[in-house]
Amino acid sequence: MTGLSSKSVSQLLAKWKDGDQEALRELVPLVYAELRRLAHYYLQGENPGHTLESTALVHEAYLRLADRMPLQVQNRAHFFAVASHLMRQILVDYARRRRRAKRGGGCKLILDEAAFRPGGRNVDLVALNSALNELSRLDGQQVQIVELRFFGGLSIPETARMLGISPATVKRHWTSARIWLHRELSRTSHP
Amino acid sequence: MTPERWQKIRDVLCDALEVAPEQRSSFLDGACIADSDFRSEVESLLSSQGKVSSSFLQSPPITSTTLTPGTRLGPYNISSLLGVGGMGEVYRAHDSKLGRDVALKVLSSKTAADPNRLKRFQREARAVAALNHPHIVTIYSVEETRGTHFLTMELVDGIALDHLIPKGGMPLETIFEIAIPTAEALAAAHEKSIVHRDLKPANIMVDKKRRVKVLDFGLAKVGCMNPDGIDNPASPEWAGAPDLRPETHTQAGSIMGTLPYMSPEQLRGQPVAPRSDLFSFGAVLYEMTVGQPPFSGETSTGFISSVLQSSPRPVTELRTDVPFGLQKILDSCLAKNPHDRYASAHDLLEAIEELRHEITLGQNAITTGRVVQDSVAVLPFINMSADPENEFFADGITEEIINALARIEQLHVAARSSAFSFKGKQTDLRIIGERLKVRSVLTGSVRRSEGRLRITAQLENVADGYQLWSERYDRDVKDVFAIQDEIARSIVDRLKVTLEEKRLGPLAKVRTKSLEAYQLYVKGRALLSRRGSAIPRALECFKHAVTLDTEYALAWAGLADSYTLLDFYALARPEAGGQKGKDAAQRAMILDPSLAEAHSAMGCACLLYDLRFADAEREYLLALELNPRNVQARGQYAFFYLQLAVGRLDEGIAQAALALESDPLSGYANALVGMTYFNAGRYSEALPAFDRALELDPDSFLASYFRCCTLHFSGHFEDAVARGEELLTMSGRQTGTMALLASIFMDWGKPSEADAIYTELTARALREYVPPSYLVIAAHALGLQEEALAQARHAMEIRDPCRHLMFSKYFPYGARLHTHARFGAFLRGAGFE
Repeated sequence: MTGLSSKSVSQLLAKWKDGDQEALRELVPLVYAELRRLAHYYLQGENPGHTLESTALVHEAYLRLADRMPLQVQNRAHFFAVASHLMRQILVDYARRRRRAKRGGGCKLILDEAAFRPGGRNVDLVALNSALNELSRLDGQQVQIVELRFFGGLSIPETARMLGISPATVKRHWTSARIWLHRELSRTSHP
Repeated sequence: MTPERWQKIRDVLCDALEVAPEQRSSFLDGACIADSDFRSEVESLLSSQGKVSSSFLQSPPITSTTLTPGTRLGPYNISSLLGVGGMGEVYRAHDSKLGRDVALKVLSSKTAADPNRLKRFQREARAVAALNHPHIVTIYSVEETRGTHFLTMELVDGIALDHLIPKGGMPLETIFEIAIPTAEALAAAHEKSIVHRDLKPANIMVDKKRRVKVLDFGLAKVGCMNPDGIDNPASPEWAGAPDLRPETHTQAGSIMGTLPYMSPEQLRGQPVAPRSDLFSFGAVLYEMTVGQPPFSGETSTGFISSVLQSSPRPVTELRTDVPFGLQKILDSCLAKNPHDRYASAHDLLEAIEELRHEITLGQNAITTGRVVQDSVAVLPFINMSADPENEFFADGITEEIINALARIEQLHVAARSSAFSFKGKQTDLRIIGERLKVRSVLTGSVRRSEGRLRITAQLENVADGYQLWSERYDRDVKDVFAIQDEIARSIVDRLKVTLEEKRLGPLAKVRTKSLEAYQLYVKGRALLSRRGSAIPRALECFKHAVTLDTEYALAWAGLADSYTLLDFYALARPEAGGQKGKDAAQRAMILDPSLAEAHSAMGCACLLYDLRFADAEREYLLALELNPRNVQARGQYAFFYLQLAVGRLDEGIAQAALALESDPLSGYANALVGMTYFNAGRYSEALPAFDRALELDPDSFLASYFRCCTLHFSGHFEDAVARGEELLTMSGRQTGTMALLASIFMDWGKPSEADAIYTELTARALREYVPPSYLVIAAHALGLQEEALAQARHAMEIRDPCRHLMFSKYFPYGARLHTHARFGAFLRGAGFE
C-alpha cells in the first residue's frame, strides 16, 4: 500500500474548507488509516516514511477544525494525543451536522452513514463528547485514554506505551471510564 | 464531585470488580467506611457495569481504509473512496485495461479470511454477475490480487433513494418512476433464483438522468461482517442480521441499518425466499409514499414486535392524493404471511403498471375534459378476392372510409394503424372497443372480380354486440368511390352525428377518376409505411399514379414523402437539395390546399434539406390544423421540429403523447414516444416505449434504432452492441447503424472493433453513397477530428438531410459534436444552434 499522496489530501482539505462535505467523507478514513499506519511504525521503532506529509496533514486538518495557532508536536505521544483528539473533533462535528441536517428535514448527509461501523454506530457521539468533557474535569488522563483507544484505535499495550504508564493502569482507567461514560450516556438518553 | 473523590471512587470500583460479585457487598463494607454517599456512588457504577455491553467503545467509530488514492490493484487504479459499508470498502477506480471507471468493492478481511464465507460470497457474486438488467448494477468481475479480494462493478453516478425521500413522501409519478424499475429488477433476479435479501432505500440508486439501479443483490447478507451475526450454522440466512444486541435500544428512537425493511420471516431467522424481497419492496414503497417506513419502535425489540404483529397505518389515511389501488399493493406486499403476498415480483410489477396506467387514463379524461362522444373504429375490410393484389384495394377502401369519417369533428375515429393492428385476427368486439376506446365498430369485406365489386359492411355496438346497420353493395368497380361515400354517410346517419352545413358535400372525396391510379396510390402508401427498402417501390407506385392522373393531389403528396424518406434513409444520394420532393409537395398543395399530407411533406423538406425552421413550423401547424389526427405530421412536428430544431424537448414529449393518444396501437407512435424521451435523456421511460413499439411492429426500424441508442447512452454497451448487430443484419448493414455501433464500441472501450467498422464504412463510401453525417458521427467517436470536420463540410454542401438529426444539439449524438470546441463553432456557423 502506498502512503498518502499529499496532493490529493491537500486538495481534499481545500475542498473541505470551501464547504464541500463530501471531501470530509473521503478525508476521515484517510486520516484514520494514516494514524493507524504511523502508530504501527512508531511502535515498531521503524521509519514510517511519509512522516512529514502525514504530520502536515494532521496539523492542517487540526487547524481547519480547531482554528488555533499551529501546534508544535513535541513527541510521538503528543502527536498521537493530538491526532486522536482531532479524530474526536471531526467525528463529533460530523455527528452534530448530521443531527442538524435531520432536524432541518434536509436529507443530504455529510458523511456516509456506512462509514460508521457497528459498535461505533450505536454510540451517540454528541452525548459521548459532552460526557468526555465532564470526565475531563475529573481526570484528564482518562479522557486521553478514551481518545487514544476509541478515536485513535490503539490497543491497551499501545496506549500504555504512548502514555508511559503500565498496561494494568491503562486497563483500570479504561474500564472505569467506560462504566462511568456508559452511565452518563444512559442518563442523557433515558431521562 | 472533585477529582480527588473520583480517584478514590474509581479505585474502589476497580478493586470491587476484581472481587467475585457475591462478595462485593462485604468488600464495600470494608472499603467505604461509613460514607454512604461514597458507597452508593460505587454501587451505582457497579450496577451500571452490568449493562455495559462488551462492545461499548471497543471498536472505533470509523473504519480505516485499506487502499489509498493512487494505489494500483492489477489493472485498477484507485481514485477515491466512495463509501464504507458492512461488506467492506467501495472505491471509485479506473480500469486501465478497458479504459472505464468502475466501482471496486474490497471484501472485509473477516469475510476474506473465512474460506467458506469467501466461497459463498464468490458464488453469489458470480450468479449476480450473470444477471444482465438495466436496473441491476452489473457486476463485472470477482477478483483477487495480492491477497486482496474484491469485485468490480458498474459505477453508478447517483444518489441513494434514502437521501431522496422528502418528509411528506414523493410525488406519485416519481414513485412509479422508481418503483417500476425496482420491481423489474427484482423480477429479473428472482427469475434467476437470486433473492436480494436486503432491499432498502440505501440500495436503490437514482442517477442524474433519473435512471434506477438496484445495488448489492444477494451480497449484503453474505458479505456482512457484523461480528454477532456471522456464520450461525443453524440458520445460514441469518448471517449478518442486524445488530440486535441490547444497546440497539438506540439514541433518538431511531433504528439503524436495515431493520425497517426486513420481512417477518427474516426477523424470525427463517430462510428468505423471493417473497421476502416483496415485503422489503412494500416497506420501501410505503416510505416513498408517506416519507416514513411502515413500522417503527423505540427499541429493536419494540420494532420487531411491530413488524411481526401490527399493521401499518394505511397510506390513504396519511395522504389524500394516494389512490386506493396503491394501498392494495402495499397490503399485499406487507402481508405477514409470505403466501398472502403477490406470487412473484412479476405479478407485483403488473399490478403497479396497471395502477399507473389507470391513473394516467383518469388524468387524461380530466385534462382533456373528454365527454363520451360517438366513436367508431373501422376495421380492415377483408379481401375476399382470389388475387392477393386486391389486398391493397381492400385496405384502401378501409382507409378512405376512415379518412372520410375523420373529417367529422364530433366523431372520434380510431386511427388507421391502431385499427389495422387487428387485421387478420379474430378479436372479440369488446376487446377491440376497449383497446381502441370506441363505442362502435365497422367491419366489412370486399370481393372484386372482372369489373364487378361486392362490398359488405356492418356497424356494431361494442357494449352489446347489437347491429346498428348493415349493407351490401353489388356494383361496377368504377363505383368504388361512391360506395365509400355511401358507407361513411350511413354511419354518420346511424350514429346521429349532426353535420355542419359546409360538410354536407361528399364525405369521401373522389380524388381521382382513374381507378388504376387509385390502386397504385393505395399500394404506395402501404409500402411507404413499411419504410426501409420498401420506399423505392412506393416511389415507383406514386410516380406511376401521377402519370395516370396528373391532378391526383394525394399521389403527389405520397411522392413528396417518398423522395424525402428515400434521402433520409440514405437509399439514394440527395439530389439538388431535395428539389424533387419539394416540387411534388408544392404540386399537391396547389391541387388541394386542404391536404394535410401535402403540408407535412413540405414541412419535412424545409427542415431536412434547408434547415428552414420557421417555414417548417408553419407547414406542420397547418397540416395539424387540417387534420389533427395525422400521426405522421404530429410525429415529425414533435421530433424534427420541436425537439431537434428548437430544443423544446418537453413540448416534443407532449406532442408525441398526443400522437400516441390518437393512434395508441401504432408502432410508429410508440417509437416516437421513446424517441422524444431519448432526446430528453429520460432513458428509463424510453425503453418501455420501444418495447411496446416493437411488440406492435417487430420490423420497426425506428424503434430498433433508437432503442439501441438508448441502451448505449444508458451505459448498457453489451446489450446495445447486440441490438445494433441485429439491426445491421435486419437492415442489410445500414450505414447509420454502423456509425452508431462505432460510437458504442468506443464508449465500451473496444477501439479496435470501432476501428473495423469505420474502415468498412469508409470503404463503402468509395463505392456507394454513405451520408456524410454518418461518417461524421463515426469519425468523431474515433477521435478523427479532421476527417469528421471534412465530412461535416461535405454534409453541408450536399445538404445531407440526415444532418438535421445528427448535428442537432438536442440529439444526444449531435450534442457530443457540440461539446467539441472547433466542431461546435463550425456547427453554430452552419446554423445549428
